[in-house]
Amino acid sequence: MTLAIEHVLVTSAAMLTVGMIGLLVRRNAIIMFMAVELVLNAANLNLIGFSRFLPDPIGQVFVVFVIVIAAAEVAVGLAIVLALYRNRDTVMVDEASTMKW
Amino acid sequence: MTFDTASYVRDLYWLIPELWLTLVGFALLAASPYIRDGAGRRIAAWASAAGQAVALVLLFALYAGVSGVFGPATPEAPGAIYAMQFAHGRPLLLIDGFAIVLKAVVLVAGILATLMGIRLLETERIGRGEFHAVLVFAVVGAMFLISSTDFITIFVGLETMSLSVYLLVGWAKDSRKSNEAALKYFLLGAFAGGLLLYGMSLAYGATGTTNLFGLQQALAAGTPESGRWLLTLAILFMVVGCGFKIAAVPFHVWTPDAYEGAPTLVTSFMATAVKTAAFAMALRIFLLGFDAPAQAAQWTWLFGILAALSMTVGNVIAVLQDNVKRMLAYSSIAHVGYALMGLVAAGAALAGWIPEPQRSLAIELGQSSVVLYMVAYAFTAAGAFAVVILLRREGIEGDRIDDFSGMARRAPGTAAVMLVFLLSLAGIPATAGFIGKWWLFASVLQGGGYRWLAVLAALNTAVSLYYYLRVAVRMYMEIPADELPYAVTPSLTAAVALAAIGTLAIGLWPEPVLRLVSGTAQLLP
Amino acid sequence: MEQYLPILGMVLIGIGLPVVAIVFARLLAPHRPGGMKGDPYECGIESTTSVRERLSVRYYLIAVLFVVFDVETIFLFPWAVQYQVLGLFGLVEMVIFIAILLLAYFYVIKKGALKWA
Repeated sequence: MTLAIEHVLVTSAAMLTVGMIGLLVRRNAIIMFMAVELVLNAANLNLIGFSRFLPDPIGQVFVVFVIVIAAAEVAVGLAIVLALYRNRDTVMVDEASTMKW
Repeated sequence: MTFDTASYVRDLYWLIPELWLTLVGFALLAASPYIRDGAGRRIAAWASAAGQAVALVLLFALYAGVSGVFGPATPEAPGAIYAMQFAHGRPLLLIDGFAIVLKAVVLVAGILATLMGIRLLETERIGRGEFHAVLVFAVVGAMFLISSTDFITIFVGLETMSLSVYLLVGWAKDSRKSNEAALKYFLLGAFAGGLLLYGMSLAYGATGTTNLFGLQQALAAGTPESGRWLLTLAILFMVVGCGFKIAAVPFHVWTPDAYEGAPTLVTSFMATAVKTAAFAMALRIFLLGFDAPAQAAQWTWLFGILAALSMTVGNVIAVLQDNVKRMLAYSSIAHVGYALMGLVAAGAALAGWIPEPQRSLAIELGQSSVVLYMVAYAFTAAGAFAVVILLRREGIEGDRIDDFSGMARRAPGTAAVMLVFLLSLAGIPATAGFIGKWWLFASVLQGGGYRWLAVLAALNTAVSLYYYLRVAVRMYMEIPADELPYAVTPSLTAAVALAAIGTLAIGLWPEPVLRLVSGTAQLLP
Repeated sequence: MEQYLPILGMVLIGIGLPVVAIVFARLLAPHRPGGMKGDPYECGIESTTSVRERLSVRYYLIAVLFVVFDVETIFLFPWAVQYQVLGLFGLVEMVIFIAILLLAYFYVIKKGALKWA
């Protein structure tokens, strides 16, 4: 058995599903944040996989940009979570409900 | 592989407005540690507004002479299309009429937001110098996104803009509302970016290119059976991702909270600049990349559903709001629904549901009506948010509808201008909103099975009149709620005046704008 | 598929051994919890504070700065690989890139984000 594009796709689809479920089910901001990163990495895996099997180098170029952007996103996201934590002493999003409707 | 340095450097010429703004942003960032007092902060704000104004001038100067944008295209000037090429010879960035007009909208929105917020930042005590640097970076990202014709540049531009705006929304660090708004916006916005990226990766797998022109060619050549389900999934993910970014129902849940919790100038920026850039992205991806009939048939009905849901849900829930910022948030969701009609009309034509004589007209009309609506909505919404800022005073939040009570007696001019904005939002003749809506209706009435959207939009307009006029009734029929003077400043007055002039000018004398906008459709290849 | 069977066997043994060990220990060993047994062991000294001590916010700030600056180096690798092709143009481009990072670095220093204490 050799590695085929289907294996990559199934793995990335699994990562995407975990990410989506994580975002919907978990209420801890940090974990939801990790779920979002998981979605990005699922897409990265796809890009690398297609880049390998097409073959075409652009997918890898794309991934480099995505990785850098994801790092910037981590910085911004953690700053926002930290600001929330300082004001409320919690990172649970369902307790952050000043506004409704 | 050779690398053509000369052509690369030459291409940078067409990015001068963006490069200039980047420099402005860095200058503001570098200066910010040295800014400690209110005067310095005001100077930084004015410098930021001036920098953006210079970028606007550069944008016009660069393209006025050479293009078909500000007049009919001639053989000597066949239309301003300058493509920044990548190694494989397809454009990464495209400077066409579409890009130029929408970039101008983003810049105007940025200038208006900067001007209207100078006093607000002091009242909220959040006027750190970095604010303006981050706002300028958001503008740069939006401009970059508008020009992008490759998934890589689209993603980079989108995230440059979005990351900056997440920060701006949460800028009031000590306000719980602001924290909460930023967190919700960030989580859902980043998730939407991820879904969009996932869709891009699938499209790349199906066609072997990340470029929208490449995608177009690959789809025109016909896709193999194995790639078809990948493409369908890609379209689905991208529609959802774009739906989040433009705040269409049912992907709108973050919008009211983010709009209410953000500092009002940021809300204005989100409703105008960010929305414009996100729409530009959606138009580029779907009208340029996925323009093949088989794919257009897939995304058109998805957007049709989003349009119908957005305008209905947005308007109905807006009726229930007591907070003006929240009401305007739901109203902006409804306006997304209206604007999507243009995309749907163009999609129906691309899918071949409109026979040939009207087909190309419907495509052009669909594209340009969305552009026109973005122009009209930017002025109107920015003006409305600027008036809300006027009500924010020391100790008074000023974002409830009750705060408008008796405005006509206390400040008749402002009340009259606010009335203009409200009427424009509702789409009453002689205002920009009417012209925009007129074109959207015209585009969707071309046929293709989406005439029912126009009927729905007309019904919704009637509903929306109720809540817009509710504010007007407060202003004109009730006694003032408080005696504290309004937070009038020269810059805020300038912002309101600019927005009002724009709204009325487009409404009363639409020819120049219509000519400008109708040029954008032909130039979007 | 057959060549993966040994790996499957390894995985099964790897999971099986600790499971067997834990289950048998639970079944055979006497189980009397309580008293000082629950205390964390610190070289025989009674622990004075909670183990879940808050870290200084400085650690977090420096970690984020590290992540951002660290990941930016990813752009240096493709440049290094294509150095000959890109030539002077690539060098100038990279100098601009590094200059932007340096500007950010000086901003961080000026803001006092790296000052400890």
